[in-house]
Amino acid sequence: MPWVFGEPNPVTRFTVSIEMRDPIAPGILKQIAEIHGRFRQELPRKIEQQLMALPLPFLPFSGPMVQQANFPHQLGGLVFDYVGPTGTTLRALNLIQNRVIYMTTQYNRWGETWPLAHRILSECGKIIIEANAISGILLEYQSTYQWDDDNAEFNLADFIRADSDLLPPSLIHRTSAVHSYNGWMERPNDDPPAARVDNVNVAIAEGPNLLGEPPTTRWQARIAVQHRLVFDAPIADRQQFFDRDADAVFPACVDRMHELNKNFVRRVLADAMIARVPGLAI
Amino acid sequence: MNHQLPLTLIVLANLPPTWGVGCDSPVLGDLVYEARLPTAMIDGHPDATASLLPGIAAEAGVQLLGPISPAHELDVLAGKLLSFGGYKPNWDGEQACSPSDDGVYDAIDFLSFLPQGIPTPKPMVLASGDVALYWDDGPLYAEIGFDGSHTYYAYAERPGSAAVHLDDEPIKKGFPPAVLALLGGGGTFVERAAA
Amino acid sequence: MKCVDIPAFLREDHEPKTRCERLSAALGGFQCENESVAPGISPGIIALDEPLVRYLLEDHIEEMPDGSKAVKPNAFSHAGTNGMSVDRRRHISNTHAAAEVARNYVGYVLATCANIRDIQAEGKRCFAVYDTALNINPAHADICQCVFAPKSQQAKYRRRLKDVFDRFPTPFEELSKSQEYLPTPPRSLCKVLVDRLKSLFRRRSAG
Repeated sequence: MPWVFGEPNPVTRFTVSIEMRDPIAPGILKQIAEIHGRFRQELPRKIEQQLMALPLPFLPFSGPMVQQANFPHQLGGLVFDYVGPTGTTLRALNLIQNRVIYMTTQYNRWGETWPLAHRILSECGKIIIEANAISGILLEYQSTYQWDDDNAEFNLADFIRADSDLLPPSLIHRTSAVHSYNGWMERPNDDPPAARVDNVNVAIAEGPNLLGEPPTTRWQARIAVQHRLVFDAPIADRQQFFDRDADAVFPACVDRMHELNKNFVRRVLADAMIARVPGLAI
Repeated sequence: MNHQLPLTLIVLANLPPTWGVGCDSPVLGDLVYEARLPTAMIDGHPDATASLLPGIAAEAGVQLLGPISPAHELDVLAGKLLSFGGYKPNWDGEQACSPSDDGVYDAIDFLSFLPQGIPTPKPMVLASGDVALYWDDGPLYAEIGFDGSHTYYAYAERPGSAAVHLDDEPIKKGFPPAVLALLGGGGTFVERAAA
Repeated sequence: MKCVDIPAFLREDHEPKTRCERLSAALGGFQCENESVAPGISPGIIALDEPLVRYLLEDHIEEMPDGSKAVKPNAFSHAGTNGMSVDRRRHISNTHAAAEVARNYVGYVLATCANIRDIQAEGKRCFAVYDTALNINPAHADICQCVFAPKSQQAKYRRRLKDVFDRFPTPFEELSKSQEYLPTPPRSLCKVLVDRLKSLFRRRSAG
C-alpha cells in the first residue's frame, strides 16, 4: 500500500470547542485559572495571557512614542497544556475571546480521547455558562497521510474514493498537487435547533523533506473535516447543556458530530484505506 | 496626511503575574510591529502601513494577527521539565531519586516568573530528586531548585558580587531580584516576544 | 563506625539521599582517608596527585548552541547524597571499561584527588575521597560531601566540586587510548610487588 500514515492513527490533530455568545470575562477566566489543579496531571502547564490597552496618540509608529508608567491590563486568555520534550504541544486547553478549545495531537481512539476532553470542557464550561450563554460547538479532525512509493507512480487510487460525493470527480485522477475545499450549511433535524456548517478539505502537496535525506518530493495529503454547530438560541441552562449525563446537549451533540465525521471520512477515503484506519470500518 | 488617530491597541501578551506598576512599559518605538490599517483612515499614504507586533487584537480598525506566544525555547524547557516526570527511582543507575510530580510542577509554575532579558535556563534533575534550573557560563553561575514543597532555593555567584543564598522561598514570590541582578536581566516583555 | 565499614554503608544503606551526611556524622573527621577502606581489594590509599575519573551519562551532558558539550552540575550531585562514584585512572582495568561502556556512559571528566580535598567553605573541608574498591572494580572510589547546610549552600559546594573537574567532557572511548590506562586485569598487591622486584633485578643484571 503506497499511502501510509503515522501509526496507530492518521489523525494528527483533534479539536473540540465550545463557543460563547460573548467574550469570556476576566473574572471568569480567573475562576478557571484557579481550578487548574483539577487538570494538573493531564495539562500541567498554565499560561495566563494578559490583555493590555495601549493608547497610541501618534502615527507613524516609527516615530518617538510617549511612554507611560504602566498600562492597565487584565486576564484576557488562558492556556493549560502539555508539551513534549521538543516543545511541541501534545494537548492543550485554550480559553480565548469567546471560545474554549481543547486539542490534542495524540489521538488514537474516540473512547480514549473524548472522556478527557469532555471532562475538561465540562468543568470549565459549567463555570462560564453561569455568566455567558453557549452559542455553539465545534468538532474537527485533521489527518495526514504520506505517499511512500516511487514518485513516478504517484496516484490517489486506494487512497481517495473514486466516486466520492464530497470531492470533485476530477480529483481522483490527479497525479500532482491538488486541493478541494468544500463547505456548506444545513439545518439538522435535531434538538436543540441549530444550523450546522460542515467543511471537508483535502489538500495534497509536497511535504517537508526529512532531516538528513537529500531533497526530494515527498507527497503528503492532509484531510480536515470540521463541523460547527450554531444554536438558534444560545443556551444558558447549565443542567440542560452539561448535567444530564449522555442526554445533556454537549455530549449528545458532540457524539452526533463524531459519527457524522466518520461518515464524511468514509465518503472521502477509498475502502482499502478505510479498512486500515482504527475505528473507521463499519 | 492625517496621522492624528486616537487609536487603541489591544495586546494579548504573556506577562509575568508580577508585572505591574513600576515595571517597564513596552517601548513601542524601538520595536518592529506588523498590522494592517484601513488605508481610508490614513489617506492612503504609502508609508502609512505600520508594522506592529503580532498579537494586536482587532480594535478601531487594527487587525488581529494572533496572540503573542511564549518564546519557543520556553516551550522546549517546559517539555524537558515535564519529561522528568517519567524518571523512575535509580534513573541513572547510581541510586538517584526520582523527582516528585510536585517538584516538576513547581518548576513549571516558576517558568511563568522568568523575567525578560535573561538567558533561558537549563533544566536538570539532581541525585536527590530535586528539579533545578541553572545558568552557567563559567564565571557566572546560578541555580534555582524545587523539591515539591512549593518553595525554591536559589544560589547565584559571579566575580565581583556577593553570592546569593536563598532557601525556602515561596514560589509565589516570583523570580528572586538578587539573582536577576547577577544575571543582568531587565527589559520589557515585548523585547522577549520580539526576540 | 570503622573505616572498613564505609564501602558497605555507601552501597547497602536504605536511605540514599542522606548517606553521605550520616557517614560524615558517624566518622567525625577525615581519618579514613589515611587508610584503605577496602584492604585486600584496593590498590592502596589514594595519592593526592591521582587523577579521578567521573563517568558521564547523557543526562549529565548539555548540548550548547554552538554544538559543543558541557558538563551539567547534576553529574556531581551524588556527592551530596549517596556518594559520587569515580574511578582511579591509574588503576582502571580493561574488563571494567568494557562493562561501563555497556552501561551507556558517553563521556568522562577528570580531577585530581588533591583538588577535590582542597575544596573548602567557611574554613571547612567540603569533600572526602575514599578508596571504596569493589571486587569487580578495584579502581572504584567515592567522593562524599562532609558539610551539610541549607540547599542553597549545597549548590555552592556542588559548583565548587564541578569546577575542579574538566569543564568539557571527553568522549568515553578516549579513556582506553590514554597513556595512564592499564589494559591488564587487576592484580593483587603482592603480585605487583613481586613483578616490580623482578623488573628491578632484570635492570640490575643488564646494567
